[in-house]
Amino acid sequence: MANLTKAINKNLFDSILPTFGNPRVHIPVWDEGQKMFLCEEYESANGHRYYKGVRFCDRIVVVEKVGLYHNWTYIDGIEVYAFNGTRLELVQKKDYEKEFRNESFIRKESETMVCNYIEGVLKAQKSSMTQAELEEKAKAIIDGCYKSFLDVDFNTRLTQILPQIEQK
Amino acid sequence: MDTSLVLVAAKALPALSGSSLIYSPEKNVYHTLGYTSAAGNTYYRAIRFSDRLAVYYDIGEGSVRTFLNGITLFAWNGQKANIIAQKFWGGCNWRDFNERSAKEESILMLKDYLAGQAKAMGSMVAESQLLDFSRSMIEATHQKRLA
Repeated sequence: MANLTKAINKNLFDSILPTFGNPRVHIPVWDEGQKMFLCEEYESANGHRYYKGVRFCDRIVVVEKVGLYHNWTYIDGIEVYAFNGTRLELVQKKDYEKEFRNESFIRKESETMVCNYIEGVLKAQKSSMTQAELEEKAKAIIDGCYKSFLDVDFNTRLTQILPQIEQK
Repeated sequence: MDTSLVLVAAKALPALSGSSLIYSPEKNVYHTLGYTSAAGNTYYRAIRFSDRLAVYYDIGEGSVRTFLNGITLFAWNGQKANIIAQKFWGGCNWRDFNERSAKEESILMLKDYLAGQAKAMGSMVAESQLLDFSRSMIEATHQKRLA
């Protein structure tokens, strides 16, 4: 039985960490260190590397565009999507010029963007909320996006949105 | 050096933005040429790899200390490499470079990657088995490749 388990796990490991020349199974990569899924990675002709980092909760999706050049890692853009049924709708977008990637900067920017989105919707509906309430709401939503996929109570159904992000 | 690994290095060492590599046999590690800032700090990458993965350390050398600014793990996908885990340090969260702790950090990063993949595939793998496999994979990148 122990050998069978070992054999099954060897096949699993071979598919997710294959030897050079063999294809890796197409499963979204969860990066626990950055608390996000890594998608759409590619390398340009001059050796720069780009990928999208995706975080989400049951309310919004935050996509960060990351660029790696020489020794530096830049944040090229942040996009915030809201759900409309099972579809995603872009509600905020921000691009950056030569901004070094910094975790606390991204978190703060994400909170501000969610705050701006809610404020805009409220204004369009001729409704309002205090700034403190808005900020608290936005912070709670973004905090929810930093939940670990490895946690037992992570809502794995939400990973179904990843193919939609890859198509954008 | 093992010819198959020479092939790997030539074809797939990723995201070097055209940097040249220097091999340091005593530590079995590749270094990028790096960059020296106006303040006199030097930044470079230290790279180790095996037939399963590549491990990059982002290192900063100041006048007194050597810092570990980040670790990136790559897995092979055919003949290309894909990022599977990244971690950065710096600012008030700075970290001194230490071979042993950087290696331990790499093992934990790889373990988390494997745990995420296993979970996404609906497989249950014991934490101890993930850790053993990760350790052996990272150890493999540290093995001497020169004959």
